[in-house]
Amino acid sequence: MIRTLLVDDEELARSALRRALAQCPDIEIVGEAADGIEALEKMAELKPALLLLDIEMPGLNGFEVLQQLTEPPAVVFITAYDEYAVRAFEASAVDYLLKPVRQERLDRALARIRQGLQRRAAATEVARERSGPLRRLAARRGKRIAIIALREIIRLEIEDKLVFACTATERLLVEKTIGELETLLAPAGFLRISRSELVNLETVRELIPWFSGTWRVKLANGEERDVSRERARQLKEAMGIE
Amino acid sequence: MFRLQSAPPTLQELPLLLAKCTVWGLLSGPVFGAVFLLLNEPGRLPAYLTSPRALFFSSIDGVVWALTFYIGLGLGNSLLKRSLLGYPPAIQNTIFVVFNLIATSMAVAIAGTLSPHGSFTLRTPLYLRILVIDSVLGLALSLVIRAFIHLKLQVERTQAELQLQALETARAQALALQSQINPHFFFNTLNTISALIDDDPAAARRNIARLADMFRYTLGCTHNSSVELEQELDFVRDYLAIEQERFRRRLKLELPGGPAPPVRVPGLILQPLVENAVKHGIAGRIEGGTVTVRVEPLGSGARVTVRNTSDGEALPGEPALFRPGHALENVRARLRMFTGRPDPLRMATGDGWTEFGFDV
Repeated sequence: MIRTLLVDDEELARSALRRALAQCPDIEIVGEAADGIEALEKMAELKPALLLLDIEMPGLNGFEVLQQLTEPPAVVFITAYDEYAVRAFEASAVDYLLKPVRQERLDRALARIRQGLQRRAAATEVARERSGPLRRLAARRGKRIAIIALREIIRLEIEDKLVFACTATERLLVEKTIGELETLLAPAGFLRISRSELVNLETVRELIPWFSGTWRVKLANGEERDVSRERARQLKEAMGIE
Repeated sequence: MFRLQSAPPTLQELPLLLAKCTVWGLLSGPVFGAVFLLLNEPGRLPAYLTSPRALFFSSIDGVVWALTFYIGLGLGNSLLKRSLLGYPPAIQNTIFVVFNLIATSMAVAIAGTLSPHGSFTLRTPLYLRILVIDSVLGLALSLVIRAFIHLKLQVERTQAELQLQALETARAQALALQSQINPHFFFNTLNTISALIDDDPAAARRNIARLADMFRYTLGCTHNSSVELEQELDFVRDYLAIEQERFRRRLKLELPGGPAPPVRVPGLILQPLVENAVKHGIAGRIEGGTVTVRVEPLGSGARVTVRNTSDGEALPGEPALFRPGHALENVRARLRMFTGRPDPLRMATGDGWTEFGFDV
């Protein structure tokens, strides 16, 4: 059985998909989500093997949802009308369905997934291309998932092997490694300043020379953080010094 | 003969005009000769008409007169017209009359002296001749020439206006075509109907009928420049009913109850505003919101407002809001053409809402 999560903001669209999937005996619908944030919660909770993901949704759209997933399952995108997305899917052989869904198209997409033909990385690539650089990050606020705008994040740090995003008011758990975040957030203007920390360059207010080639940065919230010697050069480059 | 035009002839045109003038003089000379003879010595008329020699001399005289008048008055007037463009009509008229009086008397004097056979002279005292012939002829000529030039300009201006009007109409039609409903809507609706067919066949049928009505209305709007506000509202009611089927509880509606004031609006002017409200107030918000359409009487017209729930964020600046080809830009351009006002689309934001509206 393929454990499947159905994500679409429209009740009717989900019901149509449910009906179409009922024809496939090896598909087990383990849950449904009506928006991007609920989708992330259900993903964490149910760990499905297959995600049927609508693109146009409130909260986070389908592409943004996929970008937040560290280990994405197999994905089939669903769209009613997005010729640019469809072109991107076709170019990268990502599985997609057009609404209203035709049974034979659904069967074909599922057949590819059963045979393990899907290139999972391709779906994430398309998502990144289509929604541009990441603008928001999913984090945990207790049991709930919070969406933080990247510009609100001042820095990210490791504590007890867990990564936390610090905003002016909160400290939220992010379920990704600092290495993943470094790659993910570099285009958005975040820089790794030490083994355990990433800062949002937007919030850097002062660069203070410290001991033996190390530096300190003063951030918008008044905090001062240490910059390791190896990272100091990158930081100065990023800030346009030297 | 005197080809009256708002611009003087070019050098290339001149020989042909002079040739025409000569032919005209040759032909009209005997006729005028007869008229003058009738005024002076009616008794000699039969002899004149039967004498080829007398008629030939009159033709030569006719050519001299025609050329003199054409060069002095015809060309003079068209050159004058060009140099007078832009002056007030009263000044133009005065100058025309004075010019033609002087030019006529000079032409009469020159032609009288040059014409070898004196076919066209009146046996009256000189002062009377100048007073009567010159004044009457000069005044008449200047009026006729003025009228012709005026008429010619009028025709040119009307043609230009007609062209402009055709252009405006074409632009309005293009904008109306452009404002046709977003294809997303049709795909989403088909999807909704497809899901309803099993769950609720009656609702599926209802929505197919709505969609058909909307298609018909859209097609009609491309042909008519304006529609009754009530028709627009009915269309928007259908549109929102279908969207309600999609968004369910997330979309709350507040629509005008009673009949709308009997005013006309451009076709499909309201739907883009409502679509915008659904997009920003409902589709992008997890908890959804309310779309309110209000119609209030305003003098003899109406004030139409479309409001949606929002986070109270400030509207993006004009350039982002009215991108070329964007629905709001289209609505504004069409309202401008329809109302003639430079800024016909109202925008406002408040605590938890955003609205757009217009007065007609």
